[in-house]
Amino acid sequence: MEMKPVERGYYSLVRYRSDPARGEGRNIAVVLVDAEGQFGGVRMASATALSQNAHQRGFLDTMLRGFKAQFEGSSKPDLSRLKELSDQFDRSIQITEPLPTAVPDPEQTLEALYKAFVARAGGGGAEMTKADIADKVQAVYLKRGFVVRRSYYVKDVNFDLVVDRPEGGRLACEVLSFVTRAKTERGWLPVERDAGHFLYALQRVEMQGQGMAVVQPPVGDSPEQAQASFARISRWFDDADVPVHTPEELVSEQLPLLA
Amino acid sequence: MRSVGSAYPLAVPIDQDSIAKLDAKGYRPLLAHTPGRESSASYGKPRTFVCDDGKKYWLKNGAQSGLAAELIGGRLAKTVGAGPGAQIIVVPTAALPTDGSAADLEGLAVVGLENEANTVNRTQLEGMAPDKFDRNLIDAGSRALSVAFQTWIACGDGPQFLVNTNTGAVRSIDFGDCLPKVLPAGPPDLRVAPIPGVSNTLGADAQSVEAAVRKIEAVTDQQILAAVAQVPDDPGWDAAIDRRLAIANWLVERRSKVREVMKSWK
Repeated sequence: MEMKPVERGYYSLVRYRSDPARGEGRNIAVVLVDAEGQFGGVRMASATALSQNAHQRGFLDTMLRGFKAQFEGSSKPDLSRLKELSDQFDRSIQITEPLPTAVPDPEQTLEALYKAFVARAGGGGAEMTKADIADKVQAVYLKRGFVVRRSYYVKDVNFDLVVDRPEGGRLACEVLSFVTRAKTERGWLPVERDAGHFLYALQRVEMQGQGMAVVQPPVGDSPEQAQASFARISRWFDDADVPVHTPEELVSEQLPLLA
Repeated sequence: MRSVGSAYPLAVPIDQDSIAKLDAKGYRPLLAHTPGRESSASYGKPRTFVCDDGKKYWLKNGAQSGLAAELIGGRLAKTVGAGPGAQIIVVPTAALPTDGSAADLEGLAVVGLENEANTVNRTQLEGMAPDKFDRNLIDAGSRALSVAFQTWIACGDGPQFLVNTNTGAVRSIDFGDCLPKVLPAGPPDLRVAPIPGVSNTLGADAQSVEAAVRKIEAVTDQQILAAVAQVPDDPGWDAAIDRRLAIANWLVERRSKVREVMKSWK
């Protein structure tokens, strides 16, 4: 099987130990570099997942954001720098020894490593909020050179995202998450209302056939109510011929350009 | 993901044309990113790799009945809910450990069985003290499903399983010696994998058996076709279309015979 050449990069995990003496810790971020400092980045757990203690949370968030900022210039930290950091940080904050990884695409690799080592390990939580999903959709389409507008009004109705496509006209996109916990007595009703509003809005501005939904389905331990609500909105989208994709499909598959 | 509860047609032609039509769509492998631990407890010495969907997979580059059997078994296990899914995975040079181990995976399409957290295999379970995991928590329903599934696809003499120590679920894994190269005729043989410290009849109650058998019988011809199609035909896969067609027909035929065999589980 022929394969396109894939770059090699190196990753470290940022671990936080609230009590260094006990040695227990959890992964709160992943750092990706290459040998020459050409690409790389940091993917960190959401601020709320860093620590239950507000003071610690603030400290960790500031530290990680500062670290992330080092990757924003043209000269990024390289493997040597990551090794130095790994040697220096060995108390409450640990940076693990860099390990090799294939990097077909830095953003995708960071996401994969984050999911594997931070989110699934409980550091970042597996929760993908509506905003997380919208970020992902926006990044995918921007990378393809499309104009993407967030929270955008078409005539008098608002869509989560609107993508300008060279063919097929605008694509209106709704993002929904059934993984984040329902924090109110209304449970998943707001999500259903969002879905209903989206379907109404497509009709209202005559964009039937130009809509797409990206939905984070409930996970195995989601409450039954989430599963039922997810099934309900899936039926609505199906009846309205609105394609539905998961956020995972956005990253690992080529998201169809057409709805 | 398209919709929830969309029903497949109950019966579709199972012939070379149907498989070839699906094959023509090609397959889309995952890409391995970074290596993890190795296991010596299984044929082919699988090793975990994080792949581009952010999941860990146990990669195997060899299976007694061919890698196609491993993949088809994994796909069907996921379909019925008996075990983790299987994927086709390509391993680029950059993903290999720098110590030269796993070099045999370089550039190849191999099978990856999704890793499941909080699970232990037979050996680990044997070594686990009762106060660490209460065997009474092992779930009869999933044990029955595992037995029904491994019976259906004719797992070898030592069917493999995992036990989830959080939920007690029994999960079928390791399908490299299922779907043998010479597909056995006649009714399926019951395959009950002994679980250390657990009765051999856990799951043999009528309710658990009925629920498990229903899940096997609910697998549609379309799902069986999808499981045998879009498979690499590289060396070691044993994935010639006539073998895959034979497997599909054999699975369809045995699907309705699992019920009777499961009744003999006492």
